Amino acid sequence: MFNKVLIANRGEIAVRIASTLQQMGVTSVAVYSDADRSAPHVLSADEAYPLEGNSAAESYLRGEKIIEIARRYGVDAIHPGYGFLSENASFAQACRDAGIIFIGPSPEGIRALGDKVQAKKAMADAGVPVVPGWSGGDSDGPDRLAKEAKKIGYPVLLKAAAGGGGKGMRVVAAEKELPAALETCRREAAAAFGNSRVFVEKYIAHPRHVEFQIFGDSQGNVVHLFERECSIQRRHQKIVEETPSPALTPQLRGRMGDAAVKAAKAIGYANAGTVEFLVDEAGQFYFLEVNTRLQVEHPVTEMTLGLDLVALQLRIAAGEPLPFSQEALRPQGHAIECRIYAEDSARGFLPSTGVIRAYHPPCGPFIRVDSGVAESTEVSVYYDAMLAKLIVWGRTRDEALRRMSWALRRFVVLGVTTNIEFLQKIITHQEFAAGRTQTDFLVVHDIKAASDGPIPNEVYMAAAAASECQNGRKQKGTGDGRANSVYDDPWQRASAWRGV
Amino acid sequence: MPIVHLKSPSEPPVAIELVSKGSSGSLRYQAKCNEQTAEVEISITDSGNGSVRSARGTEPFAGSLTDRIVEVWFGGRTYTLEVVNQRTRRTAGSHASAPVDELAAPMPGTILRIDVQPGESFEAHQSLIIMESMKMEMTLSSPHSGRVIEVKCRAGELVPMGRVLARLEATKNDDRTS
Repeated sequence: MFNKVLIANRGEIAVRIASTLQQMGVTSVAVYSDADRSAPHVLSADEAYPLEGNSAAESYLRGEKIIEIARRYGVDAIHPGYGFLSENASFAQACRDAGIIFIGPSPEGIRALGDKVQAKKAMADAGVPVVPGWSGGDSDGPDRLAKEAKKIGYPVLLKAAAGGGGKGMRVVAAEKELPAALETCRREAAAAFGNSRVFVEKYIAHPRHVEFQIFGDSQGNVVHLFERECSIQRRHQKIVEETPSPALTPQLRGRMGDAAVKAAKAIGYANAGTVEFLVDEAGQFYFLEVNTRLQVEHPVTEMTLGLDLVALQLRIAAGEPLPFSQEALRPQGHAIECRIYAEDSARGFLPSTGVIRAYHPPCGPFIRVDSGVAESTEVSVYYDAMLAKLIVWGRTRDEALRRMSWALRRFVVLGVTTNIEFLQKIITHQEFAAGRTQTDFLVVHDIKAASDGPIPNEVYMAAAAASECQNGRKQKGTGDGRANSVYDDPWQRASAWRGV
Repeated sequence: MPIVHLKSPSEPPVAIELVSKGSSGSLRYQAKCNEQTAEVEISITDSGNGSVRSARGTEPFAGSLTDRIVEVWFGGRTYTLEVVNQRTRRTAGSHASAPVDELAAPMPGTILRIDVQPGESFEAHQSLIIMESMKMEMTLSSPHSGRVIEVKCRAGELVPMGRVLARLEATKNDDRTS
């Protein structure tokens, strides 16, 4: 096993990886931007080194600087987490060249799956069902794409070849909308990924998003760790994930699991990956893409299988074989994850920034919170607005739902606007409880965070007490000789509303 | 004892009178809502966590004050209120003439609209100026009726917190809190 591992990430995932490293007796090394100087991920690691700068490009995306730190401080391996450098083949290659283990698939594996057009072709060749579509070549013009779109049949979906996270995606309902949509899509793709290549495929209406966790070792063994359903999405980004999927029958699960393993074996995949599928209303499934990293939602798999996926990643990266066979894996119960974001669900999910004034995550049996923030953490514009992940386990889906609902009602975050109440609405929705979850769930059921009902008197009373109490505290701090009374009027000196 | 005037974006202002203070460890208040005598007991710690005890039972809350915006988590929801006026009950006869007051920006932001002219009279809780900050609209009003002496801002202007936006004169003998 490794002696020292650098975590090339921030936020909750960096904290979570450090926890596994420490439990395994491996020294954990954090890196941090200026803004993250005293962030939880820095405080939770054994060692921490600055990257300087604030934006992702200046800090967490600076592969050469991270490798330099790793070499200088005797790091054996780098865990990239998710996002940032996790799916960057050049970075994985640079690690290899520097004699440092990249905890993830090989640069070749990342490259092969990173280009969605290539990946889809490889899967189709391996006999994995794919969405009917056309990828074309760089030299093919818009006319050819229009012809192919017609052949596939409208509605069609335009997608950036190098895309991800919902950027550079457009649904085109009819032929006449294609030229404008294609232009927008190309522009978005070029801006977001530096590659304007776009492909077209059949638009599957009301699909579910079901993905399979896969693990391969360097001996060529591949297993799947069952599915996660991630249909609840806003702006094409997942916010609620669960396992098992309420939609899969044992037969369908078996077929999809086999396809996922076949997909991984086709490209000699090693380490953790996720094979994403769309499942239509008839129960037909289509390969979507492979994510060559640890997923945000990996904890639900950990909860039902009793496994630490980061520990497993480390063992495989260190050359050990998979410690279990497919047959030995028996998931237990049901797990759900909610992503807690600093965003305003009532205003187009705009990110909310500010300083966290109060942070009290819920706790109790079978409740796990992976936090990237703490009280007084500043949520800045520089990074993703996900604050934490709330994961619960239950013997049944119903038990897990009730536990999640309770936990969301007990999750206190003050200082930034969060999606907690929005998540409550989803979890307690009748259709969600019935397991009728599709990727357009939030739109179809018009889920709104808008609070309903009058404000309880208790809220006003609590607000008055909090205001009074904190004003009193502020005054004590000024040391102006009036320290003992919390009933002084601070506004008299602030010249506001004086003496009204 | 202090009276705290609070305003939410959706409801008319509410006045909370903290009627008595207990001690021992955390602060304890008894509060009266809008002059009604339905009293509750509030315990609160320095960090802003506490509980409200009423006839319905004891329920926890968390509160945080930043500038004049107070956020309260209660019953699984988070509420944002503005402290529009907080002061101590005045003893009788402490003022002889109509006081001149300043309406200051409770937060940094943009002036969206000015609803009154200098010299104009206004009613208690009438909208005087509307501000926007952090994409949130806030109506500035006075808990008392009065007259506008001077308006010191323009619509569209970006103002820092505490900036005096208008000077007001309260109507004589209209100090309902004394």
